[in-house]
Amino acid sequence: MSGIGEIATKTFYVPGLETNLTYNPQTMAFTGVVMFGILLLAFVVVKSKGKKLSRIFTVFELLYKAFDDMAEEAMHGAGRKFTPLVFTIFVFVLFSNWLGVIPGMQSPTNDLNTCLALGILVFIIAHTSAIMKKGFRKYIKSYFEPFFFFLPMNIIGEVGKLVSHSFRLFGNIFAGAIIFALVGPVVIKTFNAIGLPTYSATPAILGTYLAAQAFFGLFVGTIQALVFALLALTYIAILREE
Amino acid sequence: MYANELIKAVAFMSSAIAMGMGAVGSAIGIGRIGAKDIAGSARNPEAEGPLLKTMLIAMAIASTTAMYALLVALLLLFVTGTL
Repeated sequence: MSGIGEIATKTFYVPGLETNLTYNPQTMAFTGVVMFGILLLAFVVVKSKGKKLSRIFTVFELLYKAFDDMAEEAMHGAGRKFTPLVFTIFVFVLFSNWLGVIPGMQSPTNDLNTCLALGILVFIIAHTSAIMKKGFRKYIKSYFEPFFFFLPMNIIGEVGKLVSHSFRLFGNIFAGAIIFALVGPVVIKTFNAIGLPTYSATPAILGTYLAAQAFFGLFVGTIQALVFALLALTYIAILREE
Repeated sequence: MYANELIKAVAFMSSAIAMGMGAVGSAIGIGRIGAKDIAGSARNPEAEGPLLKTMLIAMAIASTTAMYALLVALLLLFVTGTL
């Protein structure tokens, strides 16, 4: 049962830089699958725009409208320009989380590097937009609020936001992946312990596996994608506040 | 002679303690959020829809600490090679 939750890595030597580079081929491949899926979906949705009242276009319009309203609510007036970013993050994380439900596939968000990359993206965008909105002096001054000696706490708070933002997504998806991997062996061991042969456990394994997929893959995946996008919006909005 | 077995035993026990203790605060938080949500939507039934969305997000945030505990517990199991 070793190797649960491990991610395949490959290391190669770069002659020019005199260093070793490590990359995760599985994560990269599945990220490519997710990107291709989103592109395909976007193509289908945009194609269906001309026909009157296309079903898929209406669904996506409603979704986008919901995010637009949330962004407007969070940032009074200027929220609309962050809607594409937040919606992109939501769609990417949602498809990444759902990819783990298909047998043989692995969620790209099951790798900490993907989550950390998304977290760093939001972190940089939030700080840059805060500097552009408030000006550099006011941005620096916000670190000394409410008193001068609160500087270290504010800095740790900013880094903590980044860490908790990425680890929340990673932890949830990782826990789901571990549970998928454990369902089969645990059911077989339970059946063997009460004296039933291994082959009779097949329906029970299928049922438990489907239930675990439905809860940890689809439900938790959707909720976590929503939470990730909304928190990205909130972090940007908090930093932009005067 | 028994060093390896001792490490395994301590890793199993400490991962169980980490998961159990770490889940306490998260469970209390999620319970309180759910209770407040029920109270709120009982008092004001038309606010149930917006409240549900906020409640799910708050619950997901409250469960983060339990996720950290789970990560630590799993790391204790996998890094020490007990599983």
